[in-house]
Amino acid sequence: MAIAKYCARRLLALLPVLLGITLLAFFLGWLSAGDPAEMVLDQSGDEPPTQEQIEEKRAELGLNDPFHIQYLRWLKNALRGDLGESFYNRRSVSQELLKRLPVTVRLASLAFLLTAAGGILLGLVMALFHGRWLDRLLRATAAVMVSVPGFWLSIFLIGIFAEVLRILPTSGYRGFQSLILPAAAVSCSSVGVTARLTRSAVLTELGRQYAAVASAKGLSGRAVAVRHAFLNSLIPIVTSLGNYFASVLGGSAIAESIFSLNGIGSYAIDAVGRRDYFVIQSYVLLTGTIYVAANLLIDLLYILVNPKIRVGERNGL
Amino acid sequence: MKKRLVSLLLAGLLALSLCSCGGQSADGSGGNDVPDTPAEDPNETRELVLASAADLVPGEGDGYYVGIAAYVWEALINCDDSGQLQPWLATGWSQENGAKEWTIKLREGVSFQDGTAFNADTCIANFERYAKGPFTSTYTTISMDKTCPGLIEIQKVDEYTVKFLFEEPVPAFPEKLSDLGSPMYSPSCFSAETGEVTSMVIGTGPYQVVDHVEDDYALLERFDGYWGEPAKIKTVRIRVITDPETRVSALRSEEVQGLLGYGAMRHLAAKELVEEDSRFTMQPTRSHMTHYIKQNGTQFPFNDVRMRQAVSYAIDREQINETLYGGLLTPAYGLLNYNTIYYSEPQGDFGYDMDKAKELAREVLGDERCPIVMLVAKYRLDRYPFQEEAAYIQQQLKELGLDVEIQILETAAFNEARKNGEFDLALDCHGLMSPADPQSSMSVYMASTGSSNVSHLLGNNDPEVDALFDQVAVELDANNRMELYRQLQQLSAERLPMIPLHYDIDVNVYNSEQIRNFRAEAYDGVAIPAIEWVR
Repeated sequence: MAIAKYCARRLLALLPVLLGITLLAFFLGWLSAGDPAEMVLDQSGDEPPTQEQIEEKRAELGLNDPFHIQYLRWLKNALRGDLGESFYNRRSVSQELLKRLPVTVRLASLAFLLTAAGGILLGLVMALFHGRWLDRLLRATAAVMVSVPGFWLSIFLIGIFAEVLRILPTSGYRGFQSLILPAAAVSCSSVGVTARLTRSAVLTELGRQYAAVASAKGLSGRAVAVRHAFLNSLIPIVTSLGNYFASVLGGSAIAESIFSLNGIGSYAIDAVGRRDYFVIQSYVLLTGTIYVAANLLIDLLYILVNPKIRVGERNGL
Repeated sequence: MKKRLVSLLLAGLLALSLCSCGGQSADGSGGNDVPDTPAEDPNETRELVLASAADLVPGEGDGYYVGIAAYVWEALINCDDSGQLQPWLATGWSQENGAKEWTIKLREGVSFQDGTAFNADTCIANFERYAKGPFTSTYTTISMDKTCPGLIEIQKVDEYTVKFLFEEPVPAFPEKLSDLGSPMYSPSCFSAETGEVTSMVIGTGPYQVVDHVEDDYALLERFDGYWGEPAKIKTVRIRVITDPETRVSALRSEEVQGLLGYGAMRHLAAKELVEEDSRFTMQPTRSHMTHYIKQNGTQFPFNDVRMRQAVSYAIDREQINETLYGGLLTPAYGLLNYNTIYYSEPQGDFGYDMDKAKELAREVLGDERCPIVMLVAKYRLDRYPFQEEAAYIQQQLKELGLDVEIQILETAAFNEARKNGEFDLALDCHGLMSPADPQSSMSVYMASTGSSNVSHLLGNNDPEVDALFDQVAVELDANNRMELYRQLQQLSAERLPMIPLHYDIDVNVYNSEQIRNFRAEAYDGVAIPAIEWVR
């Protein structure tokens, strides 16, 4: 019951957050240089439209209305489930997002799995071999993983696995194989971050008294680390992974562009370039919802991870 | 512990290798298939895969819906590689009454891919569609005013003859109908009320689109009822690969057999690829694109022709060509692109001459230095080394007393800055809209009332140029028109309504061990119907 109330409170808090971010995004788009009507009319770049044609298109798209009217109109329609149409191809934004979302979800899921599994495993190994050559080597590896730019890694992976070895495709979405390279590129730096975080959290727990007691009782180092310290160190790791999943679910525009994956990230980037306001708004709405939902999920996971945490308690949620 | 780690690592590698079983066959790539049995014809059984930077089927929102390079639809008249007009869906044309009346003879025995006959009725229905526009497009706008300026009416003379009546003479009417000027679609695929295409385009071309995923691929299948020579390969997939490096990787890995479209591959990269890898061949062909520096001619210092000339003389086009484009381009001194029969080489010495440049600059600036802003559009950088080129120009103009600040802007900001006059120079390129009718391409930039001259603030206002354009618009004699364009070209080199830099080429890189007859045609594309597998 307490959890249900807590969830309801958090979901209610979602509304002002979404209102705030969509208003801000709309305002920034409205302020930014470029006239969407003119861009729609001059797609070839060789035939600038007349001012009359631009005004006609602006009227058609409702761009001559005051800022607050435009925003409220969009908001009213969005509350009814209508996210509007693209200025360019007049296609429904919600349908386009739905069409592209599966690719992004799959990529995000695989990247998340790689990050979670790879990061935690590496972090645990580093903690277990703390101070020895393997720890030093893996720490250096993690530092490199954090530093390598995603776009460079993408090109590198394509060069090795697609061009030379020819075991994975360069681009496009043709099934699970098509996600391996982009997921690896997207998750690389996060694996490094997660590994270092895991190492640090586990080492902190290993320094606590209960760990010393467990060792004194005869438990092996590995058992203390994995069965006790690791589980107690999950809070910060879960937080980090949860935020990471939310961010990658918003679409990895660079990876989608390099690997020609038609996800929501590349959709949003194209829309920003074209000043396709309704697409941008809808993307902000979607990613905002994802972030808030992800944070709620993280908070609920705390209860699972640490049963001592209770909803409503001073030290809990 | 160590053994476990090694085991885990090996297991991971094994899992990865198992995942990759099946390679790239899911997308139908024909690159690494098992060799055919002697009886099979690969043209019938193997899918050709080409890569393009942009979707050849832009779909809704685009006036054409399907690009001309997909060979799905055809126009009444074709402009061939040498710029000559050739019959296509029209077999002949003639004018009367001082080019106020044009009679077009249509090809008989042609049907659209849905079985509808191509005849005078369907031809007129298409022109009625244009009249519902204009329809914007990434290629060019479909507009009745552009194709049929001053049209009074279209008459059906008989089943295969139509007559166009105009208020004023239109000497270049066949040129206006060529290629992108008169796309012929089956009336069943567009709305008679709005003119918008309502389903996949149904044309008369050798291919039809059988499957399409937006921004992913278009699957073309040979149309067996085609009136002309049938396409060699039955199935062609045009994949959209937006990233230039990834496109090259797809070619190297043989996921695709060729690259098509302008800007499919950077020139230098193409040259290096074919030099280092014998599988690949480049077939460079003249492009309709020209690179320019577009000045803000409404303000100092580029409202002075001497300053524009100084900039032109200060730029070593050969040096840029050799260093950044592998020597593949052609230095340009005249505004009109070389991919038209009306092209002429300007007479005079317009090549690199820094001394002359400095002298002209000193006449305008004196001993003062002048800060200027040069814009570069970010989206061009994928296709051209404009950033490096801008840096070179910046160095050269420093010697003239011009301190150049380079601003690389994304499209909307670039357009806005240009519109508001917040620039002095812009490094850009654009295409010749119609090789057969260069008047529209030239006049928009050179004529004082030209739309681009006005909106891009080029500041051109030359009565002599305007008079020449007025003459060419009504000139019936082909030789006289040629002479008028020669004069316009000469004036463009001397007075620099824009500063031309290079005439571009399409690199057309393909895997010559797998396919042949890969040659450029049809506006930014290749002659897909002619391509066949090497057996």
